[in-house]
Amino acid sequence: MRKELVFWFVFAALLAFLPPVMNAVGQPYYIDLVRRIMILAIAAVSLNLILGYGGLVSFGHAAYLGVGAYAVGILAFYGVTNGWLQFATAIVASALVAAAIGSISIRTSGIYFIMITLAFTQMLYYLGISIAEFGGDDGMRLKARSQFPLIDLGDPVASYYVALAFMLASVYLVYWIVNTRFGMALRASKSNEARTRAVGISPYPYRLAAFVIAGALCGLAGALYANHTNYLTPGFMTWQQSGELMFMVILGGMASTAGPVLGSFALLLLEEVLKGWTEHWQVILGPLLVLSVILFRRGLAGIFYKPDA
Amino acid sequence: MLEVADLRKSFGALRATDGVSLAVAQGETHAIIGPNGAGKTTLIAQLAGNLRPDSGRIRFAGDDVTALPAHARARRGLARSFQITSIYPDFTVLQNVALAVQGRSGAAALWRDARRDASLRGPARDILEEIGLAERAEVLAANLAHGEQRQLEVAIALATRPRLLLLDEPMAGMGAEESQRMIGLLSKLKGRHTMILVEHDMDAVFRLADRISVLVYGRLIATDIPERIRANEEVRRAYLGENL
Repeated sequence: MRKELVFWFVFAALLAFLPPVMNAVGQPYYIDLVRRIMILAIAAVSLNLILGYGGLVSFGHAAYLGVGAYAVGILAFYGVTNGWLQFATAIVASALVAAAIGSISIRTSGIYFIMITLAFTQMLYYLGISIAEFGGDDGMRLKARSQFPLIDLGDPVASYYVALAFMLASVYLVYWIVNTRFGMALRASKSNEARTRAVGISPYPYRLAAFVIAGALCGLAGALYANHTNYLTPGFMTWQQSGELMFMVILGGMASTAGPVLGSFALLLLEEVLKGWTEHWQVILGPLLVLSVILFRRGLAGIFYKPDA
Repeated sequence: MLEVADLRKSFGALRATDGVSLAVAQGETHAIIGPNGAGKTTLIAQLAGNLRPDSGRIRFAGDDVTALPAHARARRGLARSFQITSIYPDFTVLQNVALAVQGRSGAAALWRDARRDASLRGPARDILEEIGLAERAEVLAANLAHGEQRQLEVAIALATRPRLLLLDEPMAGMGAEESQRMIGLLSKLKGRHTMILVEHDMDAVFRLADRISVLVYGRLIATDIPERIRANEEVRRAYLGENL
């Protein structure tokens, strides 16, 4: 617990100092890179709520990244650029989509759950491809960035700190949730479903609520992501993107606060470095990931502190 | 407290529960014994709501609960322990019991921090005190000895403040000393709680039970007080070679 706090303090401080340092050494590109990592980390943190703590292996979490991004993109397309309205729409739309997908898929379990969440996300992906008005396969440019008072999301450093703040807030949000009575019932349902029913708790409503919260939080990440890339495509919702989010959580350490964040930093930084070396970077990345999963059974978070039960 | 009328359950040609009728009175400790394969676990699963009977009725505390799922029966006060230890290995002992306390209060105050929730931790501590696990409260349940895990399972069942305790082989896999401790614990609970005890350990059954029902091939061949069960010819035949 103590070590965990120290970890977060040091980690947040490092990230806070990154932009001035990078500007000073003339490498502003890294500000962009880390901003992207932090936004995807929010998506991974949201997935950790259901995958790590809830035991729900959702293979379709990128759907909400897409829904959040398209909510912002479509509103901007029709000239609605108010950031509050756009972000609220992104969150609500993702929550609604998660409620629809979750209410059906959570009735299944195991491999069926994995397949059904994947199938729903593929449906959304093909929906994105088929709507020519919003660019279809090619996607579309964001007409204008989300407008907030005082903060310009077009400014690389300001939007970096926005992403950092949202990332830290999302980590705290999930940490808080999993320690409430609600969170305990969710974790208990993962740990031992029969026992949980036997003490009078039906897992379904807890799982569904967690699924919706995770979808909403990932929708927020999608809204930020659209502003980051300034472009949105159905590519946000591919199964590869879902898989990458899952991998971040597993690599970093499921059911830990730092896991999904460390996982997204490790995965995306590694990708970046390897891409610089060779175009066949995936050939190297694959075995490295397999090795890391074998070596760090508790995930990368286990290197820094012992995640709680 | 519990009335079972003509309960039947078949798996293919196997009649696992074949017309079982049973009544358990308030405050009674009612043991169900029977040779391996007699259908005890199937019967328990139907009583707890994990398995739907093909026909027959189960009334609990005056209400027909035959169609209710397990969690709804638990909310009405039917708590169970499992034959194979069923706890939360990745929770601490206290968290295990606190969750069961939470279970009886349903979906109340879901946003309260469970780590600082006196209304969960207080009653959970009291139960650990009663059951003799108080000093193990902060240990991960996975790190308990087998006998302690069985005790924890009884603690979890008690924490739901049950009206009926369904204990499925609480002595399973225990050494002699652990068994004695469990018998001591159950005799403390006896009288204060209505209990159905499914157990292989005849010593435990005859020391604890007010009445015993004998299940053979899915049928109850006798229900009576321990002395008369011991003398029953049919029961002796079913248990050929075992000392009753």
